[in-house]
Amino acid sequence: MLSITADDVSFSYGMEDVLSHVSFSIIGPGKTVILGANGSGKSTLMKLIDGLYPLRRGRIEVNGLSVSDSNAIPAIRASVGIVFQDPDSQFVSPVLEEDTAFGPENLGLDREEVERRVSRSLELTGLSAFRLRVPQTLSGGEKERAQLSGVLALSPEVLIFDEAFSMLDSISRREVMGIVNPMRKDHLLVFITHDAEEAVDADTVIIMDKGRIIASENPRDTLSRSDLLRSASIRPPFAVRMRDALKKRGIDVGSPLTMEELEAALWN
Amino acid sequence: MELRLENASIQRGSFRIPPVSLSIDPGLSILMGRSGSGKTTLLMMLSSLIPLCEGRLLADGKELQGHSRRIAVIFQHPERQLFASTVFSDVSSGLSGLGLDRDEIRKRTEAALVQAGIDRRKWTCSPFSLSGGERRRAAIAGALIAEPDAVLMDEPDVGLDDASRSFLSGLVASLRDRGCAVLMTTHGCDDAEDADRVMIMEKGRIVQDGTPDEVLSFTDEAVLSTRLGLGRIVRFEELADRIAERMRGME
Repeated sequence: MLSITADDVSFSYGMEDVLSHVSFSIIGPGKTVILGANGSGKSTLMKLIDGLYPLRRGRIEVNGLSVSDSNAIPAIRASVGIVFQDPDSQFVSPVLEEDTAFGPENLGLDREEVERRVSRSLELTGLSAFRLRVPQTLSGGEKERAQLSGVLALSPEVLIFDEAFSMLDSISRREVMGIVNPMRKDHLLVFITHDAEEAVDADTVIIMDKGRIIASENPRDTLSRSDLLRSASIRPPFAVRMRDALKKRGIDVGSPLTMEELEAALWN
Repeated sequence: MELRLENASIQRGSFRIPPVSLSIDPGLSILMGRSGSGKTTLLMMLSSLIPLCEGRLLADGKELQGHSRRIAVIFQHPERQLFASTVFSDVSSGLSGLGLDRDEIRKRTEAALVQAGIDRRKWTCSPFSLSGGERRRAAIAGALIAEPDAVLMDEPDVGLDDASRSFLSGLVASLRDRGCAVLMTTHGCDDAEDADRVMIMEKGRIVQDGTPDEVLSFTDEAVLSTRLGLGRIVRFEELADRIAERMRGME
């Protein structure tokens, strides 16, 4: 079963706790968004999930395997793919197809299987025509897709996106999301972001503030609570801000979450 | 300060940018455009950091030869440019070589760190112990500490949360107040609606150039107001007023 669970996890780099008593349970497939301001501890949490940092207090399990069990780490890393911000700093090869092959080659797969995965990943991300290009010469959106290809070539069941698309303009972002979003049907997708707009279509939204989880529900219940979001330095989605602004002016438009819902409410 | 490019071009490998003429006046100018449209290249041409292969760069009408300390550049990911062993010494390093005494340096650095919202306890820590947002704020504070007359910022808002954004807006407001010419590239529209000027780049050329009202047609506010038949409104509060007015009228 696809799942990530955390039970009473605390973590510190020095004196101060960056995570304190964090507990949650995400069951896949589907899309979960971990929403938090800069410094809320969300990236640290992601690194603990992948076993990149040693966990000292609490317990984290990925697909039922404990990240504290060093024997389980290879299996966890094989099932979790992470897409980071800033693809530029992560390219390892001067040729895109070699860059995409880097992951599966390091899993020790045979040559045919590596080739099969590289072709499939590049096709999925729409980059087949670019397979001999130098990754650094791609545009921003293409670089993000190139990085995604490398992660998909590992065939992960769980995909974590750590502020992955914040560098992209809105059109490129829509392109990448068009590739990623359908994967929620059979993968567990976890987006780590400070942008509440990215969370409106999630199945679960976990809101973090100063190392603690302050809410974990469906987007309709969490994102419409603007006081809660603002207390965590998160800007509510546009439709929610407009709802609040209209309420102040004595007008009730219900609780729209998306632009479409807001528009519908305004026409009625 | 007024920064002006006259028929300026630079060479990147075998590619030469078509000559561009542009002036940036005191106030806030926003440069928008898709990834790869040439925003960063234009910013670098204005920075006096790289030599032009043709044309001139002028500051208040005088041609610049080499780099001018009156122009500050905040590159993408400024947080990666922190280098000193403590946050305090990093931020104060921009004041070195200006002939200021130690007290003055300390005073200005403290003020910059307070404005950047960095907890006093962290001033003596390594910059790498700060969170991503704090690191970014410290780096920006350091870049602006010598009070430059022109500031060029390349996507300073990428990855910033609400609190860090307010710091940035506050900073930009104070730069504008003292007559600084600020040019900022961005994907977001939040800063653009209050700017003096908005430019849009496409494939290396500026294709739109005007006030926010003239140029911003794609923000949430502009899209919603247009769809509701209210014309193009780019400011959030103004849009809320107009929608409220209309809905009261319908009741």
